[in-house]
Amino acid sequence: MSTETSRLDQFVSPARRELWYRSYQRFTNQPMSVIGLIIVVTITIAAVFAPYIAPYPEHAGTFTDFANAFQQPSLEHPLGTDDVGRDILTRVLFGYRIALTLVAVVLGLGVPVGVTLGLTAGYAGGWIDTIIMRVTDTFLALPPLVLALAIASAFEPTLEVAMFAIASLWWTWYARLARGLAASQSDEEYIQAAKISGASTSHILFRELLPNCLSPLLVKATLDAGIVVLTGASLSFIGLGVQPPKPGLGTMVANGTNFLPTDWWIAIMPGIAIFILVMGFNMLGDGLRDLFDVEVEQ
Amino acid sequence: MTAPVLEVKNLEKYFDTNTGWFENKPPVKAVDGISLTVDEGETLALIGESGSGKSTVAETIINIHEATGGLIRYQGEDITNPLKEQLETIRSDIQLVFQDPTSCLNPRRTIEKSLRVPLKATGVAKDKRNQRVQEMLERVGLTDEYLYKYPHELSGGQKQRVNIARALAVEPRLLLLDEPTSALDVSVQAKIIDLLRDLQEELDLTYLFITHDLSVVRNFADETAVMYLGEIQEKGPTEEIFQSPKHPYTRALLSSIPVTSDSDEEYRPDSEPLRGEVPSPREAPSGCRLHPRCPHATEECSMQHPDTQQVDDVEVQCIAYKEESEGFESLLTATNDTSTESQ
Amino acid sequence: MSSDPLLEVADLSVGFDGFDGYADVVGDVDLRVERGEIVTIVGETGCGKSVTTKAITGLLEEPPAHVDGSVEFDGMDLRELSEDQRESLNGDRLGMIFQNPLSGLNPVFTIGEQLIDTAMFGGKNDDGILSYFRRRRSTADRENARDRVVKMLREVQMPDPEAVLDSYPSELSGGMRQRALIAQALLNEPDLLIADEPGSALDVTVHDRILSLLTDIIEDRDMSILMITHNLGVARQVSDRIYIMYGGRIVETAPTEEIFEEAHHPYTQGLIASIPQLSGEEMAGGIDGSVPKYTDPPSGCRFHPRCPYADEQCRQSPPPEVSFGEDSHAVCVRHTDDGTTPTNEKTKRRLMKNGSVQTGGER
Repeated sequence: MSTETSRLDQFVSPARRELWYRSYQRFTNQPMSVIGLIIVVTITIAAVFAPYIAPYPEHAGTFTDFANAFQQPSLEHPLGTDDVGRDILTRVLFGYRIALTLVAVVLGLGVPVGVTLGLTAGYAGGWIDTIIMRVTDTFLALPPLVLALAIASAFEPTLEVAMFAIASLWWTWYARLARGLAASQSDEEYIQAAKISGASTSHILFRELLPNCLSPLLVKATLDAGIVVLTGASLSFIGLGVQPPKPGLGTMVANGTNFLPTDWWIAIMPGIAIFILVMGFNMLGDGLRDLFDVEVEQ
Repeated sequence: MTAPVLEVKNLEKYFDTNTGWFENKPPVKAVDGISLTVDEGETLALIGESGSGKSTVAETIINIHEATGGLIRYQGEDITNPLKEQLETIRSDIQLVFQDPTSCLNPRRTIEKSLRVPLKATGVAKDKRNQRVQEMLERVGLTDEYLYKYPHELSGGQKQRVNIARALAVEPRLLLLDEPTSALDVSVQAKIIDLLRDLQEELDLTYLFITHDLSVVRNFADETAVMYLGEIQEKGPTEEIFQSPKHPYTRALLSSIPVTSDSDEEYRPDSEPLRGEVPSPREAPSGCRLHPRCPHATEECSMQHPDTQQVDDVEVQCIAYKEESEGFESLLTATNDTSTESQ
Repeated sequence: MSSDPLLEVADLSVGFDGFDGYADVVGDVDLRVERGEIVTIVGETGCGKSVTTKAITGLLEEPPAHVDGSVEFDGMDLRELSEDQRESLNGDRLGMIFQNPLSGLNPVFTIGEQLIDTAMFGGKNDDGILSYFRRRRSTADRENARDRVVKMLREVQMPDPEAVLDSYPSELSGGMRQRALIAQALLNEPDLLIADEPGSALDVTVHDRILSLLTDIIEDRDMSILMITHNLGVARQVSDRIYIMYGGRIVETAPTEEIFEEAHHPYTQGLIASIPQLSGEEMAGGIDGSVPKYTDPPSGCRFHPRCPYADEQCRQSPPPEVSFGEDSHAVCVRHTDDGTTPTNEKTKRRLMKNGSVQTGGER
């Protein structure tokens, strides 16, 4: 049933507020996505303010207190302590800092580059499209983890190198996605109309096309954030990412495996921490996808 | 005499459908040698069903497509496949209004933002744009409360008004209207037609009005051209086309309009249904393109491409039409073997 | 032949739950189709005509839809039937044709497979699984059904029916698909055909022939049609009686000729006056405003914000139904008081540009 009729009494702000309110309602109707959002927001806040809220901020680095090593989870150390007596909760919070920085850098570099290339390819078509997409395909053929391994072993295995390695491949997926979206949209009449009105190419790409491709990109970025966290943790786990004594989540798990199964918390607690963050991103992404799917149907 | 605003001569637009290197399919002749002129302040209606190439004509004139052959002149100047500076003239003097009022507005941008695009492109100063946008809305009969709405909040008629406003923003001289009312209800269609007429008077605009619905143009167009499969079949003053349609295709189009009054019923030519359906432009028939469907077709029609005959003010592209007998031989001899249907 | 109408709908109402709250879409709809009669419901986009037929045929999902009222088909209340009973009725005695000729056919089966199945199983799904398989395997039945399908395809003037049987829907043109759908709907000789804008997605020349084909077949078989259209000209061409719908209400009903001779409701009059005339007679400038929002419909008469005759009374109380003859009614208050009775001419004059009244909505 179409209810696209407009009311005279409906002025600007109420109409827009209604739109937001409706999206909000649809979003909050899905408990999973709300939980996902809460997880992501809570972890982000905790990570940002880690120096202030962590119980033992000094434990984040090279700290040793052998007297307190291998402590089981207790009130004093909610997640226990590791082999040199550092509080695992503190280190998990600082680990989140590193993980989220990785997400921000990888997506912050990968998404704009990929989206720009993809939109250009999709809108321009022809040989521009062919060139951009073949280059993208070449990069796609390399698994990020393997390239990161190669780069990390060629250079110094540090967090920065790992970030660069992951980011240098991550844009490909966005290029492909954006290209598909842009190609399907650029035949739409509103693009033609803008062209005839004399709009510049950059106007059409970023003001006309991009807003209409944003929803799937946002969903992908959210779901991807979880994968970036996992990739970073995997690199750290095999010793090519965050180097001790920095509290990388993967590094902590790797270190903890030496003490399984007796002192299980040293490995398991950071593992659970990774799991919760990734799950949070996934739930949020699924929720957003459902939200935008409804929008498309309407 | 001054040059006509728009003059199109033997315009051709072929689409290459080969996708691979080794394919060698013949091109699709969407527009195949059409000629038309529109004088200042006049309206020319271009009629045709789906696949006739009528929209391609407009899109080629405004340089969305590159012409394959022929000539397009705007106020005497050749704008076929224009140079860069000519393109700027085209974009500011010729505008296109699309058929579907919904799909040609960006769903994620407010009306105001959509209307600003042509202003920015033509270099209207930033501080004047607000005022201009409001003027544009007012001109098409909308109030400024629509400025910050999104397209989905507007009805079909309102959206089409916005589209017209956008086309008028650059103060064009020639407006190409591609089925501007066919997505609308009749009660709204009448309003839009009314608006277009007012605007034409007020701004001294020239229209090329493209539609599949003959009845709409009756009171609107000075001249009418009927297109079928990329060719113009009949062209002349609207009045005459309606009063004595000559080409079998025009007659079939007119007779298939569901009319609403007895006076119209009399006006309509007797039913002369066409067989089958419009073939794909890919497989355009030889000779006269209508011959496989035409009730008056003779063997000659399938062999030979018909020349254009001039009958009074009307140009007809038909072999079977004989001026002296004022109609068709087949009509005079056997009237009723046309209703049987074959492939 | 009994004197009862074939289809009688009384007091039908349909509403939907939505984000904007409850949308009161269709209400107070009474309509009937006699045996052998062609009836059309005419209305513009968003007037509730499709929702009405969907409610009649039971195609609305409840909830979110809320349907109320009675729908009697040949003495049976369709709303009381079980799903099984309904389904077998739908294939057998009730035929349906939809607007889009592509979506009505399954793209992965040939026309033959689909039509022969309809011929064999339409309306027989209460037979049970055993007889289904028995029939499925019976070549005699299949041959028989195939013959019926070919015969029916001939009747709808399908070119080369035998070849069409082995084609997939995508291999046929729009007009041929529409013909196949009509053939499918008519295969089991239904008593009533419900057609939602048949052929209107096609080119005018093809559309015209689909309509005349449909009416010819109906007349030959003494069937009835309930047709929906937005085009008054189409309604005039095919139907015996017309219902005019606006804002989810039937505002006027009359035999076809009467509507075009002298309509009584201002909306009908406005519609007629807005149609371009081949004779070149000047037409009215259309009706101001747009269809009402169903979540917040206008009070009183739903047409009042767009009506050139509206006054305080129209705004406040729902209009009464006024009768002008056995089959002719209009729902408008202007006919009960004297003086301002709307006529075709008067409405047209009021809707002409000069005499145009400023009303709400689209300005």
